[in-house]
Amino acid sequence: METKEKITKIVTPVLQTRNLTKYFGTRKCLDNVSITVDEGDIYGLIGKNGAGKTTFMKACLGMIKPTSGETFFWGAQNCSNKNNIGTLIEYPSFIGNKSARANLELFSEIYGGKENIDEILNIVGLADTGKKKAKKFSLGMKQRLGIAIALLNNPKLLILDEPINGLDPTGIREIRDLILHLNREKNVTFIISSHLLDELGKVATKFGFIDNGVLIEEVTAEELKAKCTYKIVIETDDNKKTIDMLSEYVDGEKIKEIESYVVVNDSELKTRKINKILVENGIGVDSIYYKEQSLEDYFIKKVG
Amino acid sequence: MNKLIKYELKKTFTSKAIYVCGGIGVLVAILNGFLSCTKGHVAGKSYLIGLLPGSLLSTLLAILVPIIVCEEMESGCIKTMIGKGYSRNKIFFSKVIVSNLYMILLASVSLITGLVYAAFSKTNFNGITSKYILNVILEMLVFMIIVNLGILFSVLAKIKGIAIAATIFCPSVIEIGLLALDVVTKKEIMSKFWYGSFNPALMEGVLKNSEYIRIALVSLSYNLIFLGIAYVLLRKKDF
Repeated sequence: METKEKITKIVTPVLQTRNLTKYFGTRKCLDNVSITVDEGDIYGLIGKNGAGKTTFMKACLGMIKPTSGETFFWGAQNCSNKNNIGTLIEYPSFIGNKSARANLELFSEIYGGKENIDEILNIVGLADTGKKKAKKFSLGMKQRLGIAIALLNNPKLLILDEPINGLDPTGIREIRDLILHLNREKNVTFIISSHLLDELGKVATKFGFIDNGVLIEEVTAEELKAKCTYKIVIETDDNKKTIDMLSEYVDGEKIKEIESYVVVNDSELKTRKINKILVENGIGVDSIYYKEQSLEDYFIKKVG
Repeated sequence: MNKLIKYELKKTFTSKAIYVCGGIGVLVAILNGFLSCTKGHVAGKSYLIGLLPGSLLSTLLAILVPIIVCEEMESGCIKTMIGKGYSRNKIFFSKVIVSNLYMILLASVSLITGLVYAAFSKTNFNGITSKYILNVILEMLVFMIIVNLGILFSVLAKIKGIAIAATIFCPSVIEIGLLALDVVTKKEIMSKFWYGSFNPALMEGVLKNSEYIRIALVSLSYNLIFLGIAYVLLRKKDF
């Protein structure tokens, strides 16, 4: 019995959507999106502008009413456990005429977590802002205040829509560290959308690719890494001859000349073998190395 | 719901708007008292029923209510609230309750200030019957219409400035239209059914019972209609 309970607890996803669909007028903005986010995941939602990322997040949270489909938080469809969720959707939301602390004190009336205000202010780095009104904050500070409000009452799930938008490199790093800290130390599950794919690639453990309202692929970070093929980049003194020579070993379509380099899309062929072929045929090799396909390359390949 | 009401109260009482509006209410009440009571001519009962319509309460409410209602919609905080599981119903009714509480508070401040001033000016309050009190209660029911109209425009516009402007100007535009209709049709539609004409009638003196019933029923209808539309709109609104 105990084991059964444990198993049920483990397999219950934090968030599960089933065929979530949303029409705005006649335009279908979400098309049967079904995702599963498990406890401890950092789920990266990837898509172009207008792909439906924010609409999806809003539909899950009830900010917009989905045309059809269901959303389950911790296996339940009602609102009873939504107090365990922190959100930052589109832009940070706060009362501009109040200080960071006053905002947290005010929102703690409805979200709870009054006792953690000092800790949260320290975590997001706004402890020293004093009585400065939030409307006078920099973009990064506003973003951090939005996250601070989302952190009230120690949420188990944080849904962050473009949380690093408009931040400088230091700010981006701070938010990234904060996400990793909360995920590792407090087991907070995250759903994050961002168009800064490399940044998302550094933290996410699972990815959902969304395009025109359709979830086109859902992969774990490991699966994605395996899918991201390696390229061999070669710099020689005679690219034409290099292509001719390598065509004898690899399908010609897998060899391309890009700028001043020859790129081979074949993981079977090893660099030492290529080097040997080229040198034996009198071609001068300046450099030869593997280049991993980035998340951005993969994304562009997927959604165009 | 209790948490939301507590949040709304805390939000407003830590903002300047409520104190500015309250201060203006007090000043206008004192000014009214000074103009009405200084020479000692005015009868206390007429002064009592003229206090609220003579104040700037309708304008103050048209400013304060959209500030209260639009704040979360304009800043996007309503999204976080919904995301945290607060239903649109609870958010709506907490705002309705708090907005009407502020109306009662501002009306009370104006009434008390005016009455205290009049008492110091030795105004004669003899002859005040329960009907005069009924006049004051109905006047507040009319102010409730302005509150609910402010809520409706706030839900519609989601932006304070637009909601304030609409709450102030739209009734005036409708009033002009109804006046024109009265002239064309030679019937008294406006004075009978437009809420803007109720307070001038109530501040004149004791009315017939049938008039009280008409004003009460029509005022209640306005309140229900405005609230009903606002409620339906908010339930359907995407944030």
